[in-house]
Amino acid sequence: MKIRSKEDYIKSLKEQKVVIYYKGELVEDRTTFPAFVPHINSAAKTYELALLPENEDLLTATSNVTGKKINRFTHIHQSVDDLIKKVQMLRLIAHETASCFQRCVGFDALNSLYMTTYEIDEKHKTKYFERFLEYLKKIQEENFMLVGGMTDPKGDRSKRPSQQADPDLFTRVVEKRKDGVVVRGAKAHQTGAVNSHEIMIMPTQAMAEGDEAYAIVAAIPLDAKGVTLIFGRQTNEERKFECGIDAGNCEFGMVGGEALVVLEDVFVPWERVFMCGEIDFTGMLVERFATLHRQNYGGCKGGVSDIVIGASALAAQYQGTLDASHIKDKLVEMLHLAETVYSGSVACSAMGSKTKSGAYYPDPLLANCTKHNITRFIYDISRLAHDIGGGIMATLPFDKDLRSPVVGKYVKKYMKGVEGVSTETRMKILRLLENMTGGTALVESMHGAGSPQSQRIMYQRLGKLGQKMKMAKKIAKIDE
Amino acid sequence: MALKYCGGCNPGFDRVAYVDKIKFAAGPAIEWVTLDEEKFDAVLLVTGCDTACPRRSLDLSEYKQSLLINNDKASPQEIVRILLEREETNED
Repeated sequence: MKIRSKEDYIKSLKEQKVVIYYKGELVEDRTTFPAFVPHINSAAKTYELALLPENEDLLTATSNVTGKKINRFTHIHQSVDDLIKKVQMLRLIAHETASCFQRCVGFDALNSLYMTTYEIDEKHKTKYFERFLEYLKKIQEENFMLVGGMTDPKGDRSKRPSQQADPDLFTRVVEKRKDGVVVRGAKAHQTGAVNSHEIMIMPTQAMAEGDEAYAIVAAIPLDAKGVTLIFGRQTNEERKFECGIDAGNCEFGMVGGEALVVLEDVFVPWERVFMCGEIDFTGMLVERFATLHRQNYGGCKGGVSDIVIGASALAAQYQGTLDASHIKDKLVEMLHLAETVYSGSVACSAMGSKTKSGAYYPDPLLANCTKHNITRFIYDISRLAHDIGGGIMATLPFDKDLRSPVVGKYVKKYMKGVEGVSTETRMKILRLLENMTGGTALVESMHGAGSPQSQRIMYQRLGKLGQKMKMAKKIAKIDE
Repeated sequence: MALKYCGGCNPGFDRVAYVDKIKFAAGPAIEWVTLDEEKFDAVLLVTGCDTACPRRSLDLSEYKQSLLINNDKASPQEIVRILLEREETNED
């Protein structure tokens, strides 16, 4: 692996000049820009932890393509054990960052493409799988971070891609050349984009006849001509610039550091194209990517919830309420919810199966169930954290007030909880809770990896309702 | 002594800190290596919980001596005593 350490990772980002805009301004150096550093620190953990003997079982794997030891984030799942280790790894890293570490999206793109390109070739006699294997080898060798570029802006949701007033609202091929294709459009909410090396663009939904130009999968380096990133605003993000208590979690991100990735007539050579017009496989690819991504959420959000639960217990301890029976009960409820979401991720992994390509795939119904629980339980956990933490979480004075030579003494005196715990310590834990349980962090739980309705559609498709009706009839002894 | 950790997804204790204490208590009496190295007399497997994931692929019976630790209840000195006793037994 060429990129091994955090230092290697940052150096590689510095060497690749990407056009990124933040608050209307072009960013000169993405590796030192204060809004991006916390996200870089989070993603860097996926490199750093892989070098530690106490974590290598989860963070590394043996490539089925080259036989070499690789970072698990570039691995193709070869067994149910690999699927479970993925979930365990996500929980572990979340304990280190208390935020999204972004790299699972590209990981899921690689796995969904490995299994889908194999089946496209089987039907259409194309050469996508062979091409993809060469690309995969490069990603594993370089240990690159990849953006999983699925979500298109989509414009008017009631219309198909080819029916939109502006045809660019879904990413499409505008020109096919002898040596490649020219792509135009955009990918929205792209997690980890500003600190990644490449983006893998994929269709955002199942395509129908007439939408062939939109059935495009291609790997694009983020410094390719025509690629522009516009960073998304997050709740209280500029508190991190102060590097003080008010940020809550100053070192790491809040969510994934999402960006709008604009593709303005970007040329992609054929060796980087893994689907072009095969509308009959767009639905399969989207479903597989979504399942692999929804599998994750009990791992990473379970891990993040562990930090929220710990912080809630500390907040209670610092204000003398930890032994109150209702607080204990609320903490138990939070533990129950966190382990429930983790159980879902482990379950869909344990029930995974082998695809035609040999790669393993989680149970799609259980993976969707896992993500659907996230859209509820992370809100419930956050609600309980607010309940335990108290209104002070939302009304604390500034860090600068605490340090003020004039009013600092009042903040220290009136914001204090139990004896033996400083006001600063209490403020730190309350700010951490505030950071992790509101605003952007919650919306990510709702819509990341697909909005709740997209999971409910999968329930309708995979839930075997007809079979359940038959079973009920049998028990009730109904013959008609 | 070959030292092997589980991945550490949700450990019930600080495995690395506990092993550091064991190493300190052992001093020069034990030389620590990894499973990737060829020469070792025994294996110390340190796991964060009872599941002990490495045992799915690692058969401890293949080694002459092994010890599995999945909590930090025993004193580091006690662990060292057990490891050294086993080494002596192995030499016999």
